[in-house]
Amino acid sequence: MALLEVENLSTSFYTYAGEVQSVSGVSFHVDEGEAVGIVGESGCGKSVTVQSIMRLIPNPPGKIKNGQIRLAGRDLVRLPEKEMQKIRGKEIGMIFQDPMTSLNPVLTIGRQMTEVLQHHEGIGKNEALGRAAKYLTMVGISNPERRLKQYPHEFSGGMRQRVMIAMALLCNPKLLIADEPTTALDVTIQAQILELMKDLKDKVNTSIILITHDLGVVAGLCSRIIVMYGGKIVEMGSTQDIFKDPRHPYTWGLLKSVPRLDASKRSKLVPIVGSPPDLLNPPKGCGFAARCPHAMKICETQPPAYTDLNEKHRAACWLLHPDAPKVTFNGIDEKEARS
Amino acid sequence: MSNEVILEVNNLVKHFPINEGFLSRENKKVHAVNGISFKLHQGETLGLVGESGCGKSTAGRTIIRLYEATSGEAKFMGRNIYDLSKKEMMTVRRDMQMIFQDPYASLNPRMTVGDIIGEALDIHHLASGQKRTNRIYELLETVGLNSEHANRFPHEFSGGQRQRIGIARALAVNPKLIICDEPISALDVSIQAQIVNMLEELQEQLGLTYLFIAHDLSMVKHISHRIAVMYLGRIVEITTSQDLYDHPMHPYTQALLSAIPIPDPDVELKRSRIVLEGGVPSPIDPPSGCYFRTRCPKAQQQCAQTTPELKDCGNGHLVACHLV
Ligand SMILES: Nc1ncnc2c1ncn2[C@@H]1O[C@H](COP(=O)(O)OP(=O)(O)O)[C@@H](O)[C@H]1O
Ligand SMILES: Nc1ncnc2c1ncn2[C@@H]1O[C@H](COP(=O)(O)OP(=O)(O)O)[C@@H](O)[C@H]1O
Ligand code: SF4
Ligand code: SF4
Ligand SMILES: [Mg+2]
Ligand SMILES: [Mg+2]
Repeated sequence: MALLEVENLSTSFYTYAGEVQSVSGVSFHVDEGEAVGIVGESGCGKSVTVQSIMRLIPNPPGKIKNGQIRLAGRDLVRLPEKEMQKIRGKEIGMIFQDPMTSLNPVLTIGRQMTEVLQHHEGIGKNEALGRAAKYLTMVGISNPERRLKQYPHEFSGGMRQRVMIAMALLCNPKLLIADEPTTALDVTIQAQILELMKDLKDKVNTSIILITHDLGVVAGLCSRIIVMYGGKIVEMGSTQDIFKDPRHPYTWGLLKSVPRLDASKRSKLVPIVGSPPDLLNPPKGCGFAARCPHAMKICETQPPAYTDLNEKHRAACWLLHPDAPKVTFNGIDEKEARS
Repeated sequence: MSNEVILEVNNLVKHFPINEGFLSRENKKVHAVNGISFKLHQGETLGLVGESGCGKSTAGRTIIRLYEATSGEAKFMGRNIYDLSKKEMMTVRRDMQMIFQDPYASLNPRMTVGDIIGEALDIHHLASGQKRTNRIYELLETVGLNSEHANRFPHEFSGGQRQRIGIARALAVNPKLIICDEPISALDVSIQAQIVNMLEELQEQLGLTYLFIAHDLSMVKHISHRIAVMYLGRIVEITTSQDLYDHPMHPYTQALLSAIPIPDPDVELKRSRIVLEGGVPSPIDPPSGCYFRTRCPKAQQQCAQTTPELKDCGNGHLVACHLV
């Protein structure tokens, strides 16, 4: 069953230079106990999408222009801020790339954790401390009683990220949003954090939205993947579909530009030429046209609609039009397609 | 790639003293690099990997003599660079260049791109007048930019373009060896591929030698002929890239490789991970014996007592572990 449904979400920032259309017309859902990955280059609207879900878009200059965000049927977009505060941290937990942005440097970890519990659940201080210690243990922090008395700077990067996860989970949220939670961490620490998130999903049935630019990370944790480009979802499908039968040239580009550790031959990487579109003046047609080796005339003037490939898999590309030339991920080489 | 050794590093040590007030009795120091040795051949790329803080940048900076070594030597084309006079060092500086992770921080924001590249030419009196201008244009084109970019300032460029400018500046003096310190870590994946392909092409065309420092093992394996794995300032394993992946012998290398996600769900779901406990110990007080023993799943008593030396396990595959 769908826990979260995002429908036609558009969020913009109104700057002196004009309207930055960070997210335009994004729709997806997250089922209970499901982990969904969002991938794409920086600036493509991943963070703004989840900040919109949390209603953390600074206004001004930002504004959710349009759309609905339903959490267990309740529309968050129209919820008064006061109600929203009850949802943040309680029903939706969030972890960021840099834990220091959400930890208060002058308060002990214990104080910060108990405040969350007192605020959301109205329980007493001792009970709250007990629960906080339990959660620190759960995320693999030993000596929790001593750790609760320490300040954020006394923790290493990986440990701070664990504290953040413990804090995000304190009230047993149904949905955990993780925005590049391991990007700043070393791989051995990343492996620890990912293992922890996998456990949460499997044992506590927490739903997860994981934002990352590392395709390897989503391959292991997520059952579905959303590929964003230029503020839009260009392709979405099961992890199997996205890796084994990708249909959008941008997804192809992402997959071909990263080397695989297990590749035995040293094949040349295929970069995506150029850079992402300017969201101040988004292109009229397909946002990827300027960088797409398969672009056709129509791509420059008309945005492609979604084609449903199966129940879960859809992509927005003119190549999926019945009359378009047949081009596949591994089929035609890039040069042939261009000429 | 030839057999000529262009750089030979022997027992290189770099410690940073910690100033804890002048009345402090203890002479504490950061053990950033603790006796590393390796050889680099003409035209080769040697990858240097390891988790943050393990001394990769310090090693690179000491080898190019941005830092003085605490002890040990770095022989560049046969001469120990720490024995060279300032004047002799100038010529070596031409032959050894460095590019950095954050190209923006290393580019003077008040200089045009043309002058940034031109400055390198001026310092070494390599070209002046029209020749200088032509050389700048040529370098810009070599790195995939064009002559119009010469009059612009660094802030007008994207991250990937700035890295290209940094590379053009390094190339200006016709170096033999380039130390690349995380040159792609700050870039998006699609842009990383652009820069890596360019570095590979430049190596082919100009016969460059690279010491390629990074923490992304997938990319390091892609670009390097051989890889050295560092842990707390020591090299624990060194061999060819493919051999390192196929037959990792040091427990740390094994854990590191198993932690790297592979972009393929079929592979990921079947893999078993060696998840290491805890983090890297402080380089101020490294453990006795084998530095890795506090996290090593195979540690034994002797690991706390004696330091394992790098041993050749055949075909130049060097490993520092008591178990091999
Ligand atoms: N506070 C803001 N003011 C103006 N523009 C913003 C703001 N936050 C984000 N943006 C813009 O919105 C776009 C999407 O950003 P973001 O969602 O952070 O990208 P991602 O997380 O995918 O890297 C970018 O073009 C970014 O510059
Ligand atoms: N200039 C310096 N002064 C004191 N300590 C330093 C200095 N540079 C690096 N260090 C320390 O030396 C160790 C190795 O750092 P570094 O070489 O930057 O590692 P890496 O590049 O592998 O991340 C770290 O503990 C770091 O804090
Ligand atoms: S719609 Fe056209 S430009 Fe866009 S991805 Fe498809 S082929 Fe390329
Ligand atoms: S020497 Fe001992 S502690 Fe070090 S890696 Fe080998 S087994 Fe592990
Ligand atoms: Mg982001
Ligand atoms: Mg470094």
